[in-house]
Amino acid sequence: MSSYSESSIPIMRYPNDIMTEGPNSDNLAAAAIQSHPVDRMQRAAIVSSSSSSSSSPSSSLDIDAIRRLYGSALAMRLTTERQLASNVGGRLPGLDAHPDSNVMLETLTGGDLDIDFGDFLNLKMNRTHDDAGGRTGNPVMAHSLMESKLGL
Amino acid sequence: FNPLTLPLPLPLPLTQYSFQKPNTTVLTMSEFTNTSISDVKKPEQEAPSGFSFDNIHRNAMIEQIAKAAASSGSNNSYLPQATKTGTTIVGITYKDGVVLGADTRATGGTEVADKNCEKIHYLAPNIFCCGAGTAADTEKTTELISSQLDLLRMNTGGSQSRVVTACTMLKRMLYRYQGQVSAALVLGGCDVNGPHVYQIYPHGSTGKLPYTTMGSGSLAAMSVFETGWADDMTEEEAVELVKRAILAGIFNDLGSGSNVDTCVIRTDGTTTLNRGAVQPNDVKPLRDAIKRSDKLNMRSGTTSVLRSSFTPHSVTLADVTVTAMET
Repeated sequence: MSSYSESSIPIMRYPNDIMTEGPNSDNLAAAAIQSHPVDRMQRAAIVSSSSSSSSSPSSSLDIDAIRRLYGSALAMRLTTERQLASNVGGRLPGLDAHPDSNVMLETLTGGDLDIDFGDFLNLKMNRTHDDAGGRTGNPVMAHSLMESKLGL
Repeated sequence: FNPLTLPLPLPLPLTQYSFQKPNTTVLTMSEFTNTSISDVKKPEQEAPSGFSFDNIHRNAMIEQIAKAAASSGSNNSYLPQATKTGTTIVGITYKDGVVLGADTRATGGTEVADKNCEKIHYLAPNIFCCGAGTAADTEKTTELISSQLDLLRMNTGGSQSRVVTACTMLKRMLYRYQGQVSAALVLGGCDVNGPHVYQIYPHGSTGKLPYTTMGSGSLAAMSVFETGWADDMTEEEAVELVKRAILAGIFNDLGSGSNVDTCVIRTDGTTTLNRGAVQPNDVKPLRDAIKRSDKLNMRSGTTSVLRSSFTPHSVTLADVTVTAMET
């Protein structure tokens, strides 16, 4: 699973964590298991730029229409603003918000006016896995921290 | 500045040019026309917030093992079942409002998980919702929609939510999850347009009706409604009809049981939530009839005290100073 890539030849980038995924997690059979339909829908909602129910930073803007109607300057200004807001610590200076609060991005996209499952389920700060499709190499953050702390 | 308030210019000819700047955070024109600007990370690499599917493969393996064990051995229900409210929920409109009714049994497979669960959920001061299906799904869905209604009231300055707003929010959410969120709901409330009752199915279809029933006991309850409902009933008649319908579900359906809960929402704005309006399955008389050995009733002093000691714990109270708030 961790070695999944878009090419048909499987490439291992990082070894799988046998403790969390089992000994047979890096073979082709494991990679061929279909994901859950809701999982696919949630991931697709991040990519799609035109769906009204998606939550990506640019989805509430039709950037192409703005470019055609108002010019490239406005389109670039708005997009740069959103990119800066999505960066780490993206907020105007002087705003005393928590670094992970995403205040500026939520204000720009209108996310502060709405609440959905993604606002309280599976938040980044509550995850046990540092979950990435192509594993960054930190399989289970909290557990590995405790292991190193206890010297195991 | 809000781009929507700018005056619309004449359509410009499409020109493509790129900025040559040393600062790499400035984007070139080609990036606007070709790609959709989204998160820097690829979607496959970033798990979204929301439902987590980390354990999906582990669960598939456990199911395989359980199936193998079930076919070879006699160990049934190896897997824990999600708690469902195989249930009877009803809603009717009467002359001055809406009456919602529900039973109080939650089942996990063939076992009763909760003998007195609450199936009538709060959405707004004038809107309540009964939920059937997976208990967690109905609970969290109604809580979420209640928060969304609250946010909408705050953002639009409205004083009262409409029932059709709640219905639309619920059906949009349930359709988006394609029936995976197993919540069948009876939504009822009163707003400026009068009393309304809606039925909402797990895949997102809705119906607006003067009376409706949902759940595994819905047919038993509907038989009571079809013979008993009339236009312009009084509140007493309506509550009596709802109680009879839920009792029909409790006695004729295995998935429903225990008590009857009712909720009356009136057009004048008052609501009455009656938990345990009828309790035909009360076990207290049975419990009281059990004769227990007198050895279990011991007077105080039966056990002799050998030694006792008291150590006061040194407690530092918080230093509380009151500062007047400056306006």
